[in-house]
Amino acid sequence: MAQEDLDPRNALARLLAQSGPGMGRRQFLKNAAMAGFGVTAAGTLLAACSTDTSGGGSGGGTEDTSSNSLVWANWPLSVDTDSNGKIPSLAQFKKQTGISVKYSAEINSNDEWFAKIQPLMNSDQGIPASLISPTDWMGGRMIDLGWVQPLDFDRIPNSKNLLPAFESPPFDADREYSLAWQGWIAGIAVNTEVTGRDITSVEELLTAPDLKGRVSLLSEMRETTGLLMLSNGADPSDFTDEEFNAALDDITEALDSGQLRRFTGNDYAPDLAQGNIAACFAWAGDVVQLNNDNPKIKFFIPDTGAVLLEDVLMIPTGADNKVGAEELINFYYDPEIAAQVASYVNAFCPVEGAQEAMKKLDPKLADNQLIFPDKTSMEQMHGYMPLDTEQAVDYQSEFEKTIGL
Amino acid sequence: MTTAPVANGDTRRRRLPSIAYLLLLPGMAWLGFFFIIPLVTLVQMSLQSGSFVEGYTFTAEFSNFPEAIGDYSAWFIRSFMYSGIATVLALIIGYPLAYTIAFRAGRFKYLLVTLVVAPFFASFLVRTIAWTSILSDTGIVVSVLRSVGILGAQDHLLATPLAVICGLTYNFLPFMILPIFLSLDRLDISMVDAAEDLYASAFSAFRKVTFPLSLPGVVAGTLLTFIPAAGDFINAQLLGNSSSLMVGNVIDSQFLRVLDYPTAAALSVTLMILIIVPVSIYVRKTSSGELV
Amino acid sequence: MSGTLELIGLTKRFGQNVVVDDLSLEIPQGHFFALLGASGCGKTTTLRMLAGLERPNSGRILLDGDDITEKRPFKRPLNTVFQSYALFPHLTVEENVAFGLKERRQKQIKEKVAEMLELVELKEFGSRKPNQLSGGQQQRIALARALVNRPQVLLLDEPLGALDLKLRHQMQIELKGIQAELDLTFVHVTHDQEEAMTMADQIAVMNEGRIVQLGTPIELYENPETVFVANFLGVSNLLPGRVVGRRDVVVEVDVDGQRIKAPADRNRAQGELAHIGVRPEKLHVALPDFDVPDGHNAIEGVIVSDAFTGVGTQFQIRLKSGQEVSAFVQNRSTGDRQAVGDRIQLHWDIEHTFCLEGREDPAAGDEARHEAGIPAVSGAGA
Repeated sequence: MAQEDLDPRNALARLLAQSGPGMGRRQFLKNAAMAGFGVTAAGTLLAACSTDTSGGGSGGGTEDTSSNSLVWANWPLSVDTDSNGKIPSLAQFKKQTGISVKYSAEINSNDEWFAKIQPLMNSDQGIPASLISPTDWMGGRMIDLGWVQPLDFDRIPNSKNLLPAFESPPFDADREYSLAWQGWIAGIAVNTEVTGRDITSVEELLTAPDLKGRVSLLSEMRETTGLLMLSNGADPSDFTDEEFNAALDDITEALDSGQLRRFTGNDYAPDLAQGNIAACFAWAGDVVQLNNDNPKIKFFIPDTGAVLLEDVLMIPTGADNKVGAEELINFYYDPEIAAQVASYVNAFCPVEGAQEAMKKLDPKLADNQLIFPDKTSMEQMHGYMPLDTEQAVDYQSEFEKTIGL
Repeated sequence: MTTAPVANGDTRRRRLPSIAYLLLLPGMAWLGFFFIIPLVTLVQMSLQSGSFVEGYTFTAEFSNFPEAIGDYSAWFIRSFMYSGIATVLALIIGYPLAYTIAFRAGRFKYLLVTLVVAPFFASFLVRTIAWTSILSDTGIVVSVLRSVGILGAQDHLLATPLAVICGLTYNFLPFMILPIFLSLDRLDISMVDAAEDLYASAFSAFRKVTFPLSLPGVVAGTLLTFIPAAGDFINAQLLGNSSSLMVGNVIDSQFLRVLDYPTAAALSVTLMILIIVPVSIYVRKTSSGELV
Repeated sequence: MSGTLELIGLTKRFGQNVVVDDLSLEIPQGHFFALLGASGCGKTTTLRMLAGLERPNSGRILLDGDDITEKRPFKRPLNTVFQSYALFPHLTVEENVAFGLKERRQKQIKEKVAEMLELVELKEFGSRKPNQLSGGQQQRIALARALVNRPQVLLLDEPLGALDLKLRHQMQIELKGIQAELDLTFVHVTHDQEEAMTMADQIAVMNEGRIVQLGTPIELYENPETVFVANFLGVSNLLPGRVVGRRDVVVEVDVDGQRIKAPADRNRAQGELAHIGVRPEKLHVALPDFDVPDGHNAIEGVIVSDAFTGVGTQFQIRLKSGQEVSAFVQNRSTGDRQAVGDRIQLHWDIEHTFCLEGREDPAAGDEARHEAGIPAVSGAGA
């Protein structure tokens, strides 16, 4: 047991798998990754990261050029997983195509993963993965850096099933390099047992006196500033410095007034469940799970709109098995398969027809607005303006300062 | 007649060290590879200039240091304050515990030692998250403090510096207890008998004999607690708020999010120096008496 | 100066194990008193009870008539020299010696410490740490650290056990000299019978938590009252026999058909069975036709081995019964010596004969002596 626990990420992934799929998946795991470093001095972490040559420990190895296998770098628990840790859809894929896929749950945080692959991508070595699924803005950064290659859509006929809402994301407007894997809706989560009411307004969240000291925002810049800009009437998919700064001012004000307790990854989940936090910015997928345990915990798309991000499917330059990766993308764009994944992950499913397929799998989930939003909900969702790396660094730096760093 | 054996002895003496060095080789290589190289890389990185987009180049940019220190002195001070308090608390809690285990636990001694290290079987993160339940607004600690009037109805423990210090204390407590336990367990109990025989009361015997003899354990314990606590960022992130973040959080943010590697590296190097300097003074001071 | 110790019915149990069993003893002021026994006999526990480091389950300890049984160790005017010396490694020699004085807030500590270091001839070593000293020096510091407090009684727990043989002999003499000079009561715990005999005025031989015999070294050696003492202190030849006659001054014992006599006041046999005892150096080895003097016992045998040690010869002689005895003959004769295979006659003074209870195991005490590391054949003359 102790031996398996050596990797805190795996330990936590298992822990979460036991506590139910989906809950606290993404940021929670990001923290788990940090915990791994936490026991060493932060300085060692830095140095170690910069010389890391393992390529994320996927074990795939670049010498593996067989067209019958490929490595997929993804988030932990971001795909259907049975109680034995096996992935049914990948078993099915192997049966159909003969290609065995190694699901490398190596992305615990976009930033950390980036730090890890950077030296590999900068050398000619490349990374072992032929398919990668970071979040869209990181995907955008990789497009900028020339680290990914265009998809061959002739090999992905099922790409016709991409929902219209995902057709033209800001970071890859013509869908040259990417398809959506899963959508993540950021909005407001409320423990109505504590508040006694629904909260659908960002402004109310930041000012209501009865919530004082019991509100948390996300430590992710795009989600938090996006929601705030929407509340200020600005468009997060196209904003100015002033509008961004106004959002930061809102944060500062709410901090000074004592309204905000802290900034979280998705460790808001236990806080919300225990009632330490009454309402907060949150991801819909997490709250679907929390809601299963406690129906009083609800997710709201704010009146002023929600921020929609996605995890992407991309093929890095120098991929060993581009063809296999495209075949895999095609496979997952089959509505039946997409529904199978969505029934486990509970994220926004970008595949047309999956809702129909879900009706057979789990009718209750098929009606869930957070997995299969209707047109009205869709219109309330906004992407985040693609930032070139320089801008991204500047904005991020300002944001970090505002939240106490 | 006497020269032969001397020459003989000489060659033997000359050969022995080379074998010893040979034996040291794997260890040195390991140290060089996993410690020296990263350290050199880190220092080199801290002296770079440029930007993430244009690339960072080595220009011996020493101004990175005053800038980083100037911008983040508050975080350094906070880190040292929190870890210092946590170390003192861990000592106050850990010493009596180690003492009890070493001298009063009888046959349960090693069971108790196992229990002390038991938390290590859970991940650092999970242990820290467990504290969010302990200190929860609806949890027993807060309820009790509220009912006796120490906390107001709206006050909370989570997301405060106190929670961060509690978390640090808890997480590093075993590092305090174990070395103290070891030095107490090793202590020849006849020393205490001798002190009492020489007219020392139980307290005086502790103060003049037991405690000084356990000092190596105390020194090791305080270092093993203070050093990682000063660089920790998990506790601040999960148990603190935006005004209780520590320098570890800043390094994390600068390196991973802001992508300002030179600043992050300069902060790391500064943190290391700030830890190493007082620590070596402390070690020198406490070990000058050639403690056993 | 006072320092008379009285132990009354002292009992100590560790769990089910009775370590010291209803022990009573008086140790007069100024005596060098040895508690002698093998490990586990309860001697160290007895000492620790005197020091106050163990609490007796029952019984009392009186010091000059005052009951000190319940007093904490630091309230007792007794000091101890510990087996491993227990010098404080973090303090200098001076600080070690001054420890007790400081605790009692005495005056002129410096002078007293210097004086004591001079007594143990370690004046120059005051500023050293104990681990910079040799074993013998550490031993003397331990002694100085205890003596500087002018205790009424000094307790010594195997103080010489860690020293090599030569140093041990030297320290035995020094200790005895210091004791005599200061006229202190010393209670000395040891497993080394030779050490006890060399130094002590009185020895209490302990076995299984009880005192087996108490007396001066000469009394114990010449007149052991039990097989245990006879074997534990020196070497004894023990011959099993039956008491066939008791008269006013002698008892007669039949040993394989031979009549052996022993003084009645040295007879401990209660019933018919007895062990006749005689020390090897008391035996005379004579030719079979030798005319045994009056007042001597005699028995025949064959020499099976001889070992010449310079001062004398150690013979092993097989008796008719098949039992072997040892005899030590001093190197005083001239002319022919007896050799292996010779038939001889052993004879000895009746006064040198002791008669012990026959129901005792003839090997009692042997094991204890072996444990104590004393060779079985030591030759009392050596």
